Amino acid sequence: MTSGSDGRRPVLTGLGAVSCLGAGVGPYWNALLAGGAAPREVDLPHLNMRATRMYRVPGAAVPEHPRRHAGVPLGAVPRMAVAAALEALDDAGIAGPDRADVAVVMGSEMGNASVQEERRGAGGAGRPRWTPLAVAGAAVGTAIGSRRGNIGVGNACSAGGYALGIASDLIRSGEASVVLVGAADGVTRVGMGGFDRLGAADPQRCRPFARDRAGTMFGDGAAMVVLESTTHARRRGARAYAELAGVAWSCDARHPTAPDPDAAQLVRAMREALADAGLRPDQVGCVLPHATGTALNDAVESRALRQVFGPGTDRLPLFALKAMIGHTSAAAGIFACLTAALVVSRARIPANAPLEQDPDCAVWLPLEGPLRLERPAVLANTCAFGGNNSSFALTGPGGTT
Amino acid sequence: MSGPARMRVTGLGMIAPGVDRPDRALGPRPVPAPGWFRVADALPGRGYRRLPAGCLYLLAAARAAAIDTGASFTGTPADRRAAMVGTNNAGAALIEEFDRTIIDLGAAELSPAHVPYMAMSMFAARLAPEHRLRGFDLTTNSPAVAGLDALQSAARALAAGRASVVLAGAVEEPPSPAQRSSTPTAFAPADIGAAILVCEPEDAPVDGATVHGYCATHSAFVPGPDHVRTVLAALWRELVHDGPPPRHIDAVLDDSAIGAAVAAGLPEHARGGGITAVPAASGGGCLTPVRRVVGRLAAPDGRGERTAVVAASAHGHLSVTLVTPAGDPGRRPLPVHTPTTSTTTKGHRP
Repeated sequence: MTSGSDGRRPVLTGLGAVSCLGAGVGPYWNALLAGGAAPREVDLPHLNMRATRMYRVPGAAVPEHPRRHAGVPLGAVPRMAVAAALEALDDAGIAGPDRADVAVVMGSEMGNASVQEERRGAGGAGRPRWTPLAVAGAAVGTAIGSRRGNIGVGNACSAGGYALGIASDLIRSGEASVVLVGAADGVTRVGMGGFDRLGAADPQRCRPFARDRAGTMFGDGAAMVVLESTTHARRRGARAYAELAGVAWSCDARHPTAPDPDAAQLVRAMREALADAGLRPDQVGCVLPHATGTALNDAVESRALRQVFGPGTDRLPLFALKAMIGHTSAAAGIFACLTAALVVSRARIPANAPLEQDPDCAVWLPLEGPLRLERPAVLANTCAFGGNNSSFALTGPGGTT
Repeated sequence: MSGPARMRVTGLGMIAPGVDRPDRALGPRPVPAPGWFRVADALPGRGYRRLPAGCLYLLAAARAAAIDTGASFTGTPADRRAAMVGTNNAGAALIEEFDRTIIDLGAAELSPAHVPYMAMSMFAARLAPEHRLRGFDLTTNSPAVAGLDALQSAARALAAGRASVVLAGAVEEPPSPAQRSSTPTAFAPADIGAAILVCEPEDAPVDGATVHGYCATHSAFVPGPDHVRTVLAALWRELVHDGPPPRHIDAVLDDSAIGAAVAAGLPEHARGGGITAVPAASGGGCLTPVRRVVGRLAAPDGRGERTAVVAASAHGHLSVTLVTPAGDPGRRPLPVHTPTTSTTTKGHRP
């Protein structure tokens, strides 16, 4: 492993999540092993569209606080982000005044838009006051007492992957020792309606790589991870789940919503993430693909994986996370990172949701499991509108491969 | 703890009401007159008219900045070109329009050409095909400071070798009439338009382009106004730890408790230099601070003063960009750069 000077290699020491599988990382992992969640109808008014289901966070798992920040009413998204952040810091064992030195990188696209949609949809209650959408980062920063930088990232469905890259660079450059990096997105009429209009919303469920997939289905939630330098983690005796060994970005620079059929830039992102981590493709034991369930994206990503991993693709287990928690939009990359950290640390890969696989998606989706992680490096992808791609690689702490 | 990364600026572009050149960026901020932006003039050619206004501002500013830089931008391989753009409100009016359409008519009536802009990152995303940016295309969105955060993240990404040249800046678009009337203090005319800087690593070989100057941005978070003084002092110390302090401060602050506390704390860092107070709207538009950076860099012959541009949000974000014009006599020598990544693929390419 050669990713940066040893002391500045970023390791994951804390995890936090609020998802359709409930509050907390423990229930999240157990539910993944049990097959994930089922979608349900969204109870928003005026859902005048074809696809009206989502993978919803249970009501009891959505915290009631904080209700406001700097005069801005906070919807479920920033509240879930705060809960996941506190869990991640508790998990990492970072408490009290030490939290002041924690920088925050927060991915969110629609963010707090639900607050305005609720008022708009209620009718007769006056026009909703406009407030910035990206307030989750500030809510988290205030809740933990941070005095370090607080960066908001809004790269749509790849926001989480880009947030990880920024956090990794902060640590590798020595600008920060500890970064709380995460993302959160929620239920919005505009988000659901927009995908519905584009023909990219599956009305039944999220079915990545399935022959009958019909688009993606959203899930709400927040995921946060604590990233810190190896030196900082060692100094305080922290346990590390995994090392964030490599992160790479690329952009198709081609079409607003459709991926490049040649996948040249997604392939480049994967190869550069592996190179950044000092890994060969045959050292990867599992991939968490972006795999949204949209017809073109899954086929293109399958071909991209085959370009990177060659014939070894047939023996490389994929775990299609979105079939279990839905497409969590900006948070998808952090949920992938958190899941990859659990896969690495527990050396187990949950079985995929049952499906009849599309022969045009020539990848291996183990349906029996959990499988043992035979090679402890995990690669994950995120892709988004605008052709924005990110890939990142996790290994065992200390670069064990 | 290492200080923030610095970068070199070789191109500037600025589009705003009453401002069509970077050297006018510090001028008055008039209420925009109807038709102030003429697409055919700013973006001659096809394929632009149906884009949202914010996209057009950004494309026009980026085009001007790229032309300003010249061959060192166009000669950079596409894989090594990138964009980093801040916005808070660029899609505000569109999001409201989309929701109204869904409520009143149904999602089937949404414009498929416009609906991707429900994601505000799509405004910056339009830069990528225009300028063949395949390195990355990233949007930052923290209230008020997203523009300066874009400069900071661009410098860090350049230092990490993620790109060789980055179009960095900010874009904002007018809110809808309903949003303006429901939140009259949240928007300011100054926060309409776009500003773009062409940025390169500070220590990369100069490839014939004019160097306007150098930027370094540092940021912090203030969990409440009582913390401002200590946080600001630490931030200032880390920002100027290896060079002379700024001679001037541009303070882009709103009337929130955080804004007032930052304003009260700045004089002790001015060290006899001037402070220009630039009122900001409470809604957190992020263009005005970048506009100040552009204006400071665009001073004739690079003789502008070394200036710290400060922005803070009511929510607790605090960012400062140290602007050093190319001709500043006090510009410190280049620091010794210690690489922290030893990757095989991310090193600077020619």
